[in-house]
Amino acid sequence: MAVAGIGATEFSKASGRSELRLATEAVDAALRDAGIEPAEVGGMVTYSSDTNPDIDIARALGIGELSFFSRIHYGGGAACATVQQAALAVAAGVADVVVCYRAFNERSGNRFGAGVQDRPPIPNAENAHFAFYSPFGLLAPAQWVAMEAQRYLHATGATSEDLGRVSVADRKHAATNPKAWFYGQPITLEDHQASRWIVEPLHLLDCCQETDGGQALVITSLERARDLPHPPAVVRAAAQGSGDGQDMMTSYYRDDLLGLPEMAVVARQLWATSGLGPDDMQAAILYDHFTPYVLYQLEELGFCGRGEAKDFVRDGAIELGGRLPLNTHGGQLGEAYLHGMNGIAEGVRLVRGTSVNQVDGLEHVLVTAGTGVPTSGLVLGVDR
Amino acid sequence: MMTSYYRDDMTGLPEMGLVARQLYETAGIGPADVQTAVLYDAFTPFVLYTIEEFGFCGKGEAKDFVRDGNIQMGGGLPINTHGGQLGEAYLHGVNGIAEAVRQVRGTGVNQVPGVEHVVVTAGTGVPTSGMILGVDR
Repeated sequence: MAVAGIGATEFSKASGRSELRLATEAVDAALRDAGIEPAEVGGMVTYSSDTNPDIDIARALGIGELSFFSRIHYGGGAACATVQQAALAVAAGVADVVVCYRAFNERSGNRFGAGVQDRPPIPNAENAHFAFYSPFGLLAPAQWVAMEAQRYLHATGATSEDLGRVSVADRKHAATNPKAWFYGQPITLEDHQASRWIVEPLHLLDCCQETDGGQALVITSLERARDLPHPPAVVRAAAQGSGDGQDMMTSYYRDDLLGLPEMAVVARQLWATSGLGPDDMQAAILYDHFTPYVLYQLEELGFCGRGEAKDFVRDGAIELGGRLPLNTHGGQLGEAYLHGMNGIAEGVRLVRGTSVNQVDGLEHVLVTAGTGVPTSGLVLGVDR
Repeated sequence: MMTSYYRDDMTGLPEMGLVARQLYETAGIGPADVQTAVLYDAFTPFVLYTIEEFGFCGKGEAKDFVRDGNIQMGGGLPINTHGGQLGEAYLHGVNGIAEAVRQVRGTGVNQVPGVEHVVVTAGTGVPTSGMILGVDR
């Protein structure tokens, strides 16, 4: 299986149009990029948190009949799983071409950063979970993550500056990406340290931005992809993972708060399926809604040992030219917060050799999805 | 969703036809190889549509197909032997899948003799799904 097409809208703070239109534009752009007619699409996959019905997009674009449609839960954790489900559907022969999409007005419309504070008190299990945290003022993602990050910094000796190095790398890469919101606006570690506290130990520049936009991907068989305009981005492995003791953003009852066991479940599968390991990755797109979890991921994915991410990220190792260039599009801190889908598109560009921050000699790139929630991951590779 | 009113006619469920086509093709069987069916029955009219889309009878002929006890125990195609969602429970169709499993096991309280294949369908008027369950031979 391969990703044969990518397409996106502009990334903005106020799109001025409906989420459905953003989704439709993104799917249309991805199909044009793939050189595939809408009528050839047999499957569509999105997030359960997406507001845009696949059937509405299908009608708008003339896609016609669909023989596979699926939605994945857990917010940004769904990102890479959309590609996994598309690949499974193509492999099983239930659809020849599957489109994955995500589109929202996350800045001008419903802002996820607000957490549960404005959520109506619908008495179901998913909402009731947060009743154990809301009374203590833990209402928003930045707060939930800060609880774990504080413990991580204490236990590992990592500092706020180590978190800042992730932000600096993202913004360095965004600065040369014309599609990025923060194009032409790199930051220094001093800028990071001087930015205001959101929730200690998270400065403003440890938190991703909010974005209006849409991103779509086209998945088909490798054989078909080889006949299409762009070099295929081969799906070497795709995996989902939920960890032991899993909760939504608040897995506080695990024995320690120093890991992301769900990402370990993903990593184990990715390496086993692909027959590859961390040393075979020339770049990584790691989900960066908040910087601390990037350090956790480097450890869970085996790029360094436990508690050693603070050393790994020093000396420019995660910047272009370093050991593992990270988020070469600028990440969600620098390019756009599209619930991870824009990161998959960057993985595809790296494999095609068309990233604005291209990594020379790239053979494989790792992409991960939302952290702190049941999640997913991908290894994309060059066709050989 | 439940309102596909802008199609050329409103006398079919094309999405169910698409499901039926895939099921028969994948299973390598046809309507004559099915001994009983669990057809989604949120509302009775779409059961008639589904009988036609699955080829148990021709278009517009379901009204004749359901007469004279043909869809009851002992008839040509007993349907919803558990009582369906009208009679047993409305569980969004999942209880119907369980009944199909019982028919294959031979443990339905209204067991159809000689079951080899059961058709099960999902919600109608919406993008839908279906399956054919069979005896292990």
